Amino acid sequence: MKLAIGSMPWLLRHEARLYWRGRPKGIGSHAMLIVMLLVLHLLGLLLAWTAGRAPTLAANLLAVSLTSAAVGLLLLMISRSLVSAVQVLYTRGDFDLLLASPLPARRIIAARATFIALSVSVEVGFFVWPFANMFALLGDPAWLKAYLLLPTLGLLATSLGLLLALLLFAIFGPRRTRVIGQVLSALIAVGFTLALQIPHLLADASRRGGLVPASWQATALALDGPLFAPARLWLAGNALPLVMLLVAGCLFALTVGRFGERFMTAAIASGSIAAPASAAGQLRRAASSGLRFTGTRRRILVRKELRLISRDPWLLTQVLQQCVAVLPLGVFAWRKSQHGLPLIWGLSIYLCGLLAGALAWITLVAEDAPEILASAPIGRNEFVRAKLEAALWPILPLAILPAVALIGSHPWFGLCLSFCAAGSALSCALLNVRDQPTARRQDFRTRQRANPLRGLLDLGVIVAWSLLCWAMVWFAPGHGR
Amino acid sequence: MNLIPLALAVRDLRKSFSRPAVAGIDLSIRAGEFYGLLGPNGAGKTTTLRMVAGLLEPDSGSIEVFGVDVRRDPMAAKQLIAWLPDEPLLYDKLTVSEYLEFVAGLWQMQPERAQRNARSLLERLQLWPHRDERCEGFSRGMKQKAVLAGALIHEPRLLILDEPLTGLDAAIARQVKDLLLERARGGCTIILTTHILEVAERLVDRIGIIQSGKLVAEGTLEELRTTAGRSGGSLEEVFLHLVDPAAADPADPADPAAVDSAPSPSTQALSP
Repeated sequence: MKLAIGSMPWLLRHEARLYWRGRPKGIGSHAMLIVMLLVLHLLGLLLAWTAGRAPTLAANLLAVSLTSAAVGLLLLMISRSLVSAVQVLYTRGDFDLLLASPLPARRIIAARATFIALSVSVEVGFFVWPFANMFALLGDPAWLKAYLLLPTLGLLATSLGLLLALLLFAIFGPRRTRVIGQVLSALIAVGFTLALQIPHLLADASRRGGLVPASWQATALALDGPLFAPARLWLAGNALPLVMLLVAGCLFALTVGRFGERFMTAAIASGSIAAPASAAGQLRRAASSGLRFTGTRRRILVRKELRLISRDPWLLTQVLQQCVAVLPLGVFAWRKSQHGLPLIWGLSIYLCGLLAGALAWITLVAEDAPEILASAPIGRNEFVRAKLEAALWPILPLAILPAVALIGSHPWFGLCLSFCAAGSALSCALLNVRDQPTARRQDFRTRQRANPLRGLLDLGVIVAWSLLCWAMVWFAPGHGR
Repeated sequence: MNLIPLALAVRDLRKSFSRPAVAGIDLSIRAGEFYGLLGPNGAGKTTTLRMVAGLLEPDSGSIEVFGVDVRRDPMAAKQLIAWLPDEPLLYDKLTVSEYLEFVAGLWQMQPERAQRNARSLLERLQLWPHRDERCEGFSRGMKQKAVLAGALIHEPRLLILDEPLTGLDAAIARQVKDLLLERARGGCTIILTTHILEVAERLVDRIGIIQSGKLVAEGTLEELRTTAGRSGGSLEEVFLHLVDPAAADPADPADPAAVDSAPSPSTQALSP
């Protein structure tokens, strides 16, 4: 299709092309997308069929579920759009080129913001729409309103994400916004996982009583309560979803129109922060007394890796963000841990494996200066050992914690947990030892795109250690007490 | 009989990727020599030097550094070599002194010697005031100087530099050139590749010209002038005549006099 050069659709096509080409190449990755879509549809079919046989949900519970899902998805989208907005501010890429062109800057910003909204909606929709399709096929066609819901949420989330990025930029300045944006995005993503637990938490609360005030429960769960009013309205008619989409579109246009120029100024300001040394650097220099060259080669290698990890808050945030996935499991374990063994400690096996795998990838695969190591008179085994050591040191306290914390109440359970957590960490770290092409640290987030099976392998190892722990406790006299 | 020992002896070196990148190169570089390897883009200069530095495994051929076989005993050879890539790859989150500490550790230097060398290099390259700043805030020139300090800290006997002056401003380029000349005078063997022909003309003792993975000419500037039949010509003229005669003589690409006076480059490997 011939698009007018420099027009909004032309710019959007440019954004789409960059986005698509940033994905892994090859037939395999396209095939994987199709397979995932089919699997999601199959899962949707199964769920829709099961739901069709179950008694119809009470209207108030349906409204609660829809609210929790919408809030959760909105938070997830805000988290994603905030990251994207911060990336626009800091990743120079083609932004300098576009802004230096004679195209109106407002149009460039608008195109980029629109594409963030589109990509966020489609990325989330990829996982949600197959379920909506199947529920519509086997039940109520009203489920197809999900095709309006996600763009509505996407536009709202992108508006909020852009405003948040600008707010952070105004408060913290260009140096800190990137890291703080990442941290905030991680916290918002935590909100997503917690929002999806709202129905369970409310059900628990109403069962147990006492945790939530009765008056609040009555309001929250009331069919005509204000909390679920938007969901009830959404479920009731077909016109409102369209109206809400229009309102979200207007809010988005208003945000981009009103703040687009400020966003562009921020992007330009962020591009000029690299050269001068930081104030912290100046302070360190003042405190320094000279050069210190001490330690064996192994110690120097380990020290270098630990320094690089500890000095990269962006990377640390990325690592911790991965731990967010453990939250639903944590809520589940907490709910089941009220009697008997404190199952929540079992998460240490998962966390140790996950963190060790991530840190080992950083130390072993993401080497910023591979040629220095390759040209040095040092064997591969020596530096692999040192790098593994550096990846495992930070995990050690987490692995020991269960044994220490449970020594009074469940000593055997604690020991088993610590043993299996250490094993899980070591196994996941070792999975990174095989020869892999060197990557950059900023590729951390997308490291599993190159090999999607790697994530499954990590998970398999963690599950194996968890099963071993369960067996050690189950077959012990007195069930681990 | 030549009694000066060879710092580098390369025999029939070959390496292919999708096509031959290095197609049977022979090089003999004497200890203490400052050698320039020139050639058009994609000629095979970097591939050759990466094989010498032990970063790339050759398909065939032999490489000896001060008599040590690089393929048979890479660790011993690497102990003698420093490699400076064209892109100054550093650890952004380390300070310059921490970076030097790391490099000195890799080469297992005595701490006192490493400390002494680091201080002298940092002062020489005017990095001493920045020694405790992280490299992430450095300009390209400062990064290049930091990497050069790392390459020199362990006192290599053979220093290999791939485009060391690209992208540097005049002042920093001068500092780097002065330091390299000082090291060469001190007995360090230096091999560099560069596209800045004036640099090669002023710095190096001998020049090798490589094209399509083959050494097409080698010698001092005077010898290359004779080879190219360009008496009194600049290195640029000589270079273009050897690798691309059409570009060297655009007005008269088929000058019979020039062809007569210059033997075929592919058969000319001058021995000094």
